[in-house]
Amino acid sequence: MTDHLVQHEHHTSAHVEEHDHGDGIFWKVFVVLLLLTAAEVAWVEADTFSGVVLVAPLLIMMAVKFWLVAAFFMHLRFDLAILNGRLFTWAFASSLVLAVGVYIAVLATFIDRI
Amino acid sequence: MSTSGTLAAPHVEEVHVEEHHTSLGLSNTKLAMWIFLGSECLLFGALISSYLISTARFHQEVEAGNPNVNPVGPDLFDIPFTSASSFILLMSSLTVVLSLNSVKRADYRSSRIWLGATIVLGSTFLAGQIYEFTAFYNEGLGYTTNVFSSAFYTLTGFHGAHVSGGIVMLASLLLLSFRGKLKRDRAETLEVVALYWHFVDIVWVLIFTIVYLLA
Repeated sequence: MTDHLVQHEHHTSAHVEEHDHGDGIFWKVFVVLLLLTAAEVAWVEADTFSGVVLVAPLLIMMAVKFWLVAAFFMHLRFDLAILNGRLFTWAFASSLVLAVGVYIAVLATFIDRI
Repeated sequence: MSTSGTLAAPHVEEVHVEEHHTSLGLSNTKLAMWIFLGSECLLFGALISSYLISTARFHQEVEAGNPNVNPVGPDLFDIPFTSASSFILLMSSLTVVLSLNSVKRADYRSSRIWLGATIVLGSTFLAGQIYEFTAFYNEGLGYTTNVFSSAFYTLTGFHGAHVSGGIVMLASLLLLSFRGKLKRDRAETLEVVALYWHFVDIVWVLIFTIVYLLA
């Protein structure tokens, strides 16, 4: 006996909308990512800065790159916007804060033992 | 089986699978991948935290002149080479999202080209990592050389393993596409794998800055 699964995709949910993006936005994001990476390398290779002046811009650029990939390539920006209610957004944001808090707690706990 | 002994025609049962309505408006498959990526965040967060602590200890020991600590460390990093690897991985994130967009437009030929490009770029990145590890090893930085090397190889090794897994998944999708089984109605399959690939890229963004640039 052969079972054939016939899968039909029903766009039944009124909550989920297909955001059909052209390729242009992704190319633009990619160029920005490249420029940020180049800026990061140039900042370090300049060998002029140290301490907070060196570290802070690098971390900011890293965070921006993180957000660009998550928001545009991973479509998170659009998925969060169309989701039903703010519950999911708050759950996502609070989970992120919790995770960062855990890492900071772990680092603070063990850094004294070095 | 009929009484004459011959097999009856097989009963073909058509099962119509309807997309489940979800309370979040997001498919269960995609949500499952996001939850999995959340667990991966914990993994890499722990690895990065361990690396930071280990590296701090390594530098303290070296500056204190501890004779038991091999001082070979981050000085071996070749930033221009690793920058090129970063560009390659970023480009692979672009190509996979272009592949997804092509599938959604039912442009399957373009989708296969972009998917193939993603695999090539990912493999190139992996080859670069292997070359880098080999170069470091030849320069005296083995896995057990010191606490820095152990943390470094563990962190980047785990990332490399994730890249390898991603390449296998992408290759599977490419095979499916050639067999005509990756159509527009199954774009979510590619989307879910693409999410994983983008996560691997995001982790490298963190590793490149924290491990290499801030070394």
